[in-house]
Amino acid sequence: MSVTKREICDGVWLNSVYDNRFKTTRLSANILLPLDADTVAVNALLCYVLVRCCKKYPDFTTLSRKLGSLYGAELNGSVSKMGDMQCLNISVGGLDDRYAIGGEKIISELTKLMCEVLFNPKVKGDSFCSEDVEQEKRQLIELIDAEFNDKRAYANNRLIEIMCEGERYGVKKIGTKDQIEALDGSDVYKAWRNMLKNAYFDFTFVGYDGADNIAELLKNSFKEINRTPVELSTDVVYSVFGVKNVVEEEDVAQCKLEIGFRTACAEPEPQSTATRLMCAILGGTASSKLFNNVREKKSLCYYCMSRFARLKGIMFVESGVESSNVEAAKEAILKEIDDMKNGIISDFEINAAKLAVTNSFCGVTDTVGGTCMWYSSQLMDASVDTPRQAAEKINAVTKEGIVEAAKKLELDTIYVLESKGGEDE
Amino acid sequence: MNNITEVRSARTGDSYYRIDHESGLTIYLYPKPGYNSKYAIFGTRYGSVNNAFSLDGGEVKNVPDGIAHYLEHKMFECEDGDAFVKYAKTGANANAYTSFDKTCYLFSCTENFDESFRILLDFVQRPYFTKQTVAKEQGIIGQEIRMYDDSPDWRVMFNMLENMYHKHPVQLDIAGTVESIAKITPELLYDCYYTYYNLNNMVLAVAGDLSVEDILKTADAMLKPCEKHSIENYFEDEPYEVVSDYVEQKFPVAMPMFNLGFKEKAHKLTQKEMAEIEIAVSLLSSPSSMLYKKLDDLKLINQSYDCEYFSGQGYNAFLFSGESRSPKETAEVIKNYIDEIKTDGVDKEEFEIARREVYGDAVSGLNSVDNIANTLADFHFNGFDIFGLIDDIASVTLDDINKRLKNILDTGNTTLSVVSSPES
Repeated sequence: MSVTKREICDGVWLNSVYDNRFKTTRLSANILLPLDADTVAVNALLCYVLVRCCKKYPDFTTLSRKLGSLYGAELNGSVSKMGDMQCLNISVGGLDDRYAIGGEKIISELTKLMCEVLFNPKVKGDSFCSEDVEQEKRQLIELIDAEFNDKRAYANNRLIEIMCEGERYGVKKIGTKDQIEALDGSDVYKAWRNMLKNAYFDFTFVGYDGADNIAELLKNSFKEINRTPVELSTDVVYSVFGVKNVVEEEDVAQCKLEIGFRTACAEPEPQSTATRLMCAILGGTASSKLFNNVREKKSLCYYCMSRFARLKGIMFVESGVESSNVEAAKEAILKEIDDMKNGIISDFEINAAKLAVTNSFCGVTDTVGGTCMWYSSQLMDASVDTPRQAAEKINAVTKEGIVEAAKKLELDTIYVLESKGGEDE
Repeated sequence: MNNITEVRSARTGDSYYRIDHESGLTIYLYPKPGYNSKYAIFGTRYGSVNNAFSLDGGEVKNVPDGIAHYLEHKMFECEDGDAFVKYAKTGANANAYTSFDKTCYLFSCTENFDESFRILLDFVQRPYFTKQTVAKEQGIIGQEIRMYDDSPDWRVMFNMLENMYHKHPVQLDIAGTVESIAKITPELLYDCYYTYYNLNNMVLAVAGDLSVEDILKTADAMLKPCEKHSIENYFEDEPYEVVSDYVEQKFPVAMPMFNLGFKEKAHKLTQKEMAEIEIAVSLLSSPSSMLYKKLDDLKLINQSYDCEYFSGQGYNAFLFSGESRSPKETAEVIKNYIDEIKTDGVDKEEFEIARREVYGDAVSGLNSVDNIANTLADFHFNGFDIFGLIDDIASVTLDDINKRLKNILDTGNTTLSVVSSPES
């Protein structure tokens, strides 16, 4: 396996991962724009409208038939956050050319399809078709409703909004219902023109052969565009002034306790490797402190885990608790963190976390999608690590390094989602 | 003596080994060079439908419904501790399941394969049931059964099966009922265990960056030779016709859900037949198909719409499922379309797209060690070959499909099951 990175044009990159283990290939585009409350909704909508159809395949059936004739290929869109950037992901994937029964050039066809989707959408004048826009608006609103129904995700989103108020990271990745409802075809058209001109494009290709051809096709497609790409940047907060405590009520059976810490360290800073391992020891695995001590031994929570937003420098502790246990759980979680700062960490805890983290690194690149994600998530870094290299770095972290990372943790926000009228029911 | 055969596929460039082990067990190893993940599955041809059996021509034993699933739960409890606890030390991700006609134990890992492999081979070959441990499980499984009663997907499917089958036990809940599992004793569990957990009735499939030597050094040491014996499974005669063509249950769901079953005459499938059936399924359910377009244009379905072929010991059926504002209208559109293509034949381009989708899906499946090992185990019981099926899919013609359609999907022998909200 080998990885090469080449520049297509200003702010457009192609990473190609040569890997001959797979029967399939994938070309994925991470399209990055600043997280901005005024534009997140229209950018998210644009992403889904683009993968719905295009000028050449103008409806669901013709597009499905095209994908079907390419041995059941896939075209997908999704929206996420990468640090303070909004990331629109558009990907195409399908069988490798070596396995086509009739010798079809599937990769080349899929790359052309990617270019059709990005550069040649179904527009009338200066507007996208209202029927397509309305359909995708409805689906996006359903996505927001689904997120509201998932109380764990909802509580985590509320924590981020409160903790990062005034920061770009505090903006919701797909905006609000009201914002989406107000959009029309001409808004989406403007967002599309803006994307082509100003977004940072990071393409990743995983496959056996074909990267040169992809680079050529992409180069040609971007030729006509006068690019002024945005700069990729994320603000890391290094110190906290006063802890925020917020309690809200919703119709939930079980309380959600969400705690946010600043880690004073984020990727690509080299110390973030120790922070990552520290977070895994605390609550990232089934042998972690939070799982074993807070959940298993004290039975205070249904779940209790920690997660490191490593591009932003925030650690989340998430937990589901009975109303009457919220205070005790909070105390128990903070005690575990104090223990980490005081160096109360066993060799077993360190080794189990190292094993779990390095295992997950190594397993992730056994799938095409995982490989794609692994390399595209490193786009902000100066150099690219393979899973083995990243595993070596994790294994090299010492206990002192872990304690050092723990000492940098600063409590920022505690958010509790209580049940409405709780105790009466 | 172990008999080792290498099976190669020119089309995919892959190969696997079939080892007829001297213990009586058939072992498959599918090497995946360069992969970090490894996966092993150890299964027996024994599921919830095997409720009446005899061993070597002896008397027929009838056992309580749900006993195969109960046995699976109890296998994890060993004399020297819980198998899950043992796996926790190796870092493997372990699981097990019981279906209508098989029970499987599996794990996946990236490190310490051999230690986990030893745990798997050890506990599945070492039953340990006592009065106390058996009684303990009744509460837990009882809860599992009640949980399924609350699941609309589960209800809509079993209501359909109950209306399709007069006698066949495939209509019974895999976990049994609270009453049936109360009758389970250690003696009954041992009876079932020694009948079905004989290595000659089992299969072991492994995929990952491993060699035959890696597998055999542990298998030779751990597998306890079994004498081959004959198992006879008894099923009552099942009529060709469905019990009734419609059943509805009220349940709080946002959108009505349906299962539409086409009952077929029970028979054992050939590999070629399976290839053709998979293409037929794609023709009737893929988003690229004309039927999908028809249903979508009428706003009768959403993305949950699906079709699968359902078959095992004594049952074969096509099952359509999904959410629909009008399940009855949906069923009519599906049946009319089927009658149409049976008479007029399938469109040529439509067929070609379906064939490529099925072929692409089968070859893509070889990316995943989990999928490979599961398929090898499954195909062992069905008598299929993972590479042979891919070749068969590639060589199916439009003529084959049109001929096949004449003999399947009897639109006069269907049953529709609906779950809908009390208000609707």
